[in-house]
Amino acid sequence: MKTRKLLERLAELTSNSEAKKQKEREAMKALLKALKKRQKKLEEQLATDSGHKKKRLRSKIKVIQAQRKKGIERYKQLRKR
Amino acid sequence: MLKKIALPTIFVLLGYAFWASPDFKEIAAGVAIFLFGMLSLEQGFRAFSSGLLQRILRRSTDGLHKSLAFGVVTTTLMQSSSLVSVITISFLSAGMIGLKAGLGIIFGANLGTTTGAWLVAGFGLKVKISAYALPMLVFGILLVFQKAKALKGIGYILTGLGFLFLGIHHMKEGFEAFKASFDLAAYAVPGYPGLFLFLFIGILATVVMQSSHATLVLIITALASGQITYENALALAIGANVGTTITAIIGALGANVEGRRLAGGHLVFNLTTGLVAIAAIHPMVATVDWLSDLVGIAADDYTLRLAVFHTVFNTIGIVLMAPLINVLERNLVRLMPEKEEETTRPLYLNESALEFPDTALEAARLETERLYDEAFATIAHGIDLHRGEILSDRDLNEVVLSREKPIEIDMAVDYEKTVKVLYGAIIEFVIKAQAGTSADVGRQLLDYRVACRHIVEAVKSVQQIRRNLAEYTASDNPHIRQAYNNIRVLVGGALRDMAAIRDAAREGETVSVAELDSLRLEVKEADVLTSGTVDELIRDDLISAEMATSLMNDSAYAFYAVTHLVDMAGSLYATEDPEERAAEESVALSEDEVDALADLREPPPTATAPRYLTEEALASTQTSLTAARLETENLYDKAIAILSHGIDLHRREIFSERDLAEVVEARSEPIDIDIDEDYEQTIKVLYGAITRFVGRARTSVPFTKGERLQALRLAARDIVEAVKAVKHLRKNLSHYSCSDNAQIRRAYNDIRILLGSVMRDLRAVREAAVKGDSELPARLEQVKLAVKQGDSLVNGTLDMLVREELITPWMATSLMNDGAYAEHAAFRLIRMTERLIALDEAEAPAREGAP
Repeated sequence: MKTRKLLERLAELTSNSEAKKQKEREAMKALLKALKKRQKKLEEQLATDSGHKKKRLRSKIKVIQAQRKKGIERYKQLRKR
Repeated sequence: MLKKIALPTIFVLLGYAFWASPDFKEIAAGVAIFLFGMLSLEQGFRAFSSGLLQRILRRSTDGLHKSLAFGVVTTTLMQSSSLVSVITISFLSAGMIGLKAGLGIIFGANLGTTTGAWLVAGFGLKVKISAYALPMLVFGILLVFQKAKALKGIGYILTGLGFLFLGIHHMKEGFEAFKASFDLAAYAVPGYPGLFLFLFIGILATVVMQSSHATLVLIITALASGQITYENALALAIGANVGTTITAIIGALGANVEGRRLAGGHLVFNLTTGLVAIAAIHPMVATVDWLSDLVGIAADDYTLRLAVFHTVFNTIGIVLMAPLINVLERNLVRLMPEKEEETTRPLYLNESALEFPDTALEAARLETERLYDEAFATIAHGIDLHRGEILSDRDLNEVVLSREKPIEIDMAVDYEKTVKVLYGAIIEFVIKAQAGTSADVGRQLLDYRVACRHIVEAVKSVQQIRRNLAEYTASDNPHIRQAYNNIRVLVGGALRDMAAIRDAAREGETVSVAELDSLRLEVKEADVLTSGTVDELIRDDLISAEMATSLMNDSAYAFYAVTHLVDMAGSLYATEDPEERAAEESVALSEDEVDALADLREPPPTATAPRYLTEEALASTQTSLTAARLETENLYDKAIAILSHGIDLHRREIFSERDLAEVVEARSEPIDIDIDEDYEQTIKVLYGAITRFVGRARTSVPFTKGERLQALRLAARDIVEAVKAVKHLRKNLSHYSCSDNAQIRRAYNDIRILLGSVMRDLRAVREAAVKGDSELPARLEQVKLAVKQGDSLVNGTLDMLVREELITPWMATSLMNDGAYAEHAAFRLIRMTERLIALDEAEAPAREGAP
């Protein structure tokens, strides 16, 4: 049984479509990481900046939060495939 | 005339020569096979030129010694100095390397080409190479039929080498047999007359065959069989070296000034080297003899000695010319200056750049960036700002307030003379470049094309704002002045952000999807409609109704200008990695999502109205909602009449059962309407009234109802946008629908059919909605898909028309613009329908629950 599973896993790894899916997952993971990093950076800036800039920063954070939400959903779908 | 009779004359002469001398036939066949081999070899190397050549080129040409070595190595590998010089011209024309590096490569290529003589003299004539030729051809052809690009490339290279070997074999055989019947050596001319005669023959042979390599192989085989003397062979070799510049000169004819300078440098180098070789022929022969004796080449091995001579005289050329490369470069620039008119003509797009995928891509990118630069200046001036002010660190609000006098500029002229010209040229170039390229390159080219379209749309949107902006920024009313200054800050800020994104992209960073969506949200929030600014101004009677309508329209134009700039950045600076791109696209926010984010803040409102928008209607939430709904429907009906007439159709025709293609074909006369007048008299008035009514009604209704009123106002704006888009395309549609060119007539008729079908389908969808059809989203998606597929840019119609030169570039640009207007109009109508259906669904429970 174990050997069969191992063979199936190997076949998945060697097939092109699986490699493509893997790449997609990795790209999405990297993007989510980058967005999270950017959000943290903006939040730090928000704590120090003032006035007009603050409004802009809040707006940017709002966008990143929405994008991350979409991204996480997509990542879950990619993992399920 | 001469051209017409040249080819038949050559055919007749060759035919006679083949009949008279079977040996000559064998030699000529050898030359033909050899040249075919070179073509095949070239094809093979082209398969590897994508990306690889560009990377190598960038790293290998940043110094004279490096560019020289690059020329030697690539020519040795490709066995064609002509191919290397044409590639170099392409790269130079595309702006990928400088003139000095290009000259270095050409000098090196001259030395590299001598390896061919060594190979033929040392290997080709001593080993029976035809024995290798046939297996090479078999393996080569097998590989040519493979799908993988690399294998195909190797196949072409093997086939090319096979044909080269086979060609040499036939030439050798031909000369051997020729020698037995006819001794050319008996006609050898001694001394300088012979030198000049054979020099001329060498030039002529190379010009005809377009390959010094082929001439040299011919010389060596003729020399090996004793058909020509050693001295005559030397003169022929010098002549071949001079004659080979013709390929570069022909290549430079289609190139820009940089390419022509390089071809000039090539000619100077080879002429100088040839003259030096002729002037010092005796000392040079002595040097060749001394060197040949030194390395042990037999005294009667003239073929190898000829190879030594070829190397020696090209080396001397490099030694003489390399120290003078800066002088040569300066003089070439002085003698061939850039024409001033090139500022508004494409700089990077030429036939040479189309030669290779990399050069075509780079040329398209550079020209797109140039279009963007020109558009940047036009847009900046359109909002009365200078480029320097936008790119400075100063607060844009301060900059805007500090400018007292408007910048004198005619945006329409700037658009026609610069933006439209470059746009048309890029589209034509990209369409040509896309033919036969790989999917990846094609996708990238499409991105540039899309980026160009966004740039042009951004300029056109600002062009629309300009008229009112000039008037209202000089108005005595401080409120309207402030509102228009806000538009200037918004567009100027977007240009500033674009510059930052571009700088980041130049440093190798890809555009962050977060930044682009943030900009989208920012522009949405700045919209006078969604932000409630216009409501405040109307409620407090701070601006007139006319001002309010202009402000709303121009705010929408500013929104489109910025959105197009953002989309341009998305296309031009997006990551090239397909997975990364897919990931970014999947997290990018849709229009609805950005709307939802923008709607998080709460605006206030108030105002007056025409047919249904009465004071009584404001009495309750439900009556104001019903009145606004009925007025929006009224606006839609009026708009449908204008839209139908705008595309030269009657409403009864659109909503009949008849095939729209037949209806469109049947109408030969355009409908006489003044769409501008209709817009001003009907659409603008109703839209202004709805906006004011909704503004007033929203002050006293609960939040959810207020959102529904706002949705109606946005639906009204969609209708207005659709009418304006058709208003824009009407000008060309009337013109081209009566054109003598059947192709452009058909293309514009397709636009009419597309818009007519959308109106027909949307009516069907709305009727289905009333009946409670559950398939509405799917039906709307189908309409959207049909619109996308109907775009001539997407479905390939435009490509085909341009490629086959069925329409002029001018027609192509108009068709593209009007295709975009039609698409915009269609999508606005679809969006409006979606908003109304969503509203009905939201209202349904309230209706069901009502007593």
